[in-house]
Amino acid sequence: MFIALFSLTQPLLSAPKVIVNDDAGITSLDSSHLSQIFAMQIRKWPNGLAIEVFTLPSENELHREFVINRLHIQTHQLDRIWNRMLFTGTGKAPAVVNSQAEMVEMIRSTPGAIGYTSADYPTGSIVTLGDKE
Amino acid sequence: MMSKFSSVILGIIAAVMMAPATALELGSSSELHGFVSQAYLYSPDNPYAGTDSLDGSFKFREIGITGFTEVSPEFRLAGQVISRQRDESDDGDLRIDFLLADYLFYSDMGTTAGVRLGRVKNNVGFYNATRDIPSARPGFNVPDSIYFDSLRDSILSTDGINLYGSRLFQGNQLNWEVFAGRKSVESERLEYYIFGRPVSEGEFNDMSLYGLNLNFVPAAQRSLKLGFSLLDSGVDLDNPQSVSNAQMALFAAGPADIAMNAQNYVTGTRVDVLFAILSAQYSYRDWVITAEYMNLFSDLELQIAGVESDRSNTTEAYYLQVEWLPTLATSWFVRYEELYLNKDDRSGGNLLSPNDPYRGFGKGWSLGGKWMFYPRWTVTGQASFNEGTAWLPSYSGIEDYNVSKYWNYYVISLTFQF
Repeated sequence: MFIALFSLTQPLLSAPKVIVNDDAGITSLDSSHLSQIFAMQIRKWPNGLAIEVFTLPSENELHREFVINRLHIQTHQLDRIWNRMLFTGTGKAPAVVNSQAEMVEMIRSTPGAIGYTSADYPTGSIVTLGDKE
Repeated sequence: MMSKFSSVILGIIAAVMMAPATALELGSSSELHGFVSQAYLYSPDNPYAGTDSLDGSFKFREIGITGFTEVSPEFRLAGQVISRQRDESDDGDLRIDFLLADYLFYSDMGTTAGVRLGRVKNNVGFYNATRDIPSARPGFNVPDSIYFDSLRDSILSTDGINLYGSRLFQGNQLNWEVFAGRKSVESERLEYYIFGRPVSEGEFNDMSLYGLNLNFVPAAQRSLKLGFSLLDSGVDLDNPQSVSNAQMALFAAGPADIAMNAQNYVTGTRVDVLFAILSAQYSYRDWVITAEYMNLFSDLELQIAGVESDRSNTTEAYYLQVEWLPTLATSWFVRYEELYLNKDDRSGGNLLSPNDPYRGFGKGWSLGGKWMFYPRWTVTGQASFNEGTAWLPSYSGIEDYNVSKYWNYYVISLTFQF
């Protein structure tokens, strides 16, 4: 019984964490804002700085976990939104990085950047947004 | 014949096929993407966009190049050229699909608003804006019933102004768009749609367009997307035959000919069309269920040999489509759809189209799949089983073909996108 409960709560505990560049001046975001940011609809932080979105490749397992557990949609939904914007001239897809190390480096060095890593990945002093919905 | 420009485009695509990068990034703020798609289509029962398809044809090819540059976070320029060959119904000439300047004039965490000027794709239903993008279609085609070929050109894009925005309130997401402008139309396609044949004199040139598009994702169910589209358009037949010439021709042919060949005596035409489309899409795990309903009200002011008549008509269409995406690289779909050009005459008997008694309606099943067998390379297959020819693509000469009521087509295509 205890083990069953533990394994049920496990995915929630390990939901990927959202990391944000210092200059964004933000400390919390609910999931609806988060999903609109990754859908490239919200394009500026409250302080007016442009949002720069970074993701891992769509086929990456951590990306899938992030989209399902933090944005509450499916990865193919995001892929289709980005593809549609690109081929109708109405927007662009996020910048893709190939590893968590690269992700952390880009978030640290790019003003207004937002991305994610696994919950236990060391991100040092980077602003981490909690699991709050 | 492929123009010099087309060869350059193909050259760029060939270069990208060899290159390791996923897109051409031209500096930090510009990108170039594109696709090329080659299909083999076999339509044994009816000629699909030309008679070659009766024995199977490779004359189905789509090429596109798209690019954008961000001048600032608020201001961007974007454009796309497309070449589309569909045997005799589309010649493969390069066209500017869109070319626009986009200025985001308001943006905070809850609200955005902007304006686009130039040629902008029309968001009408879920698929109109991306109907020519192979990767954005569930199979070889977007649903034939709502996105049927006859009105494709007329509603594809608008040369004008497009205001857009989004609003997030209590977790609900609303995206809106209003647009106004004009669109030059391919006259012959419209003539076939209205008369079943080309008119003897005159052309449809320029259409006016006004549209509204809303998409809503409720906070309680983010897997559900609801859409509503309205599009109002109107077009006149320019430089039609004079009344005296038409009356003389009719006198020579005998008055009975007006019933058989009305298109030869047209002296004026004005068409007003109002599209309304309701859309819904629900995503659950690996499944995507999409349904749309279209109601198209058209008013036709017709002058034949100087005699005015006015007829209005309501066209109705709907489909239900289920997609299954078992892996990131594969998807399957099945779709059922119906289209009635005149919803009060579901057998289509009263259309101006004596050679094709089945053109008034369409019902059909389609099923197919896609497989990205290598990054950026996708093979797509589709089989469609139809009754009625409302969405059979027309071509010059189809009026002489004795079409069948029941007809199937089968397609396989190879697409490269970068």
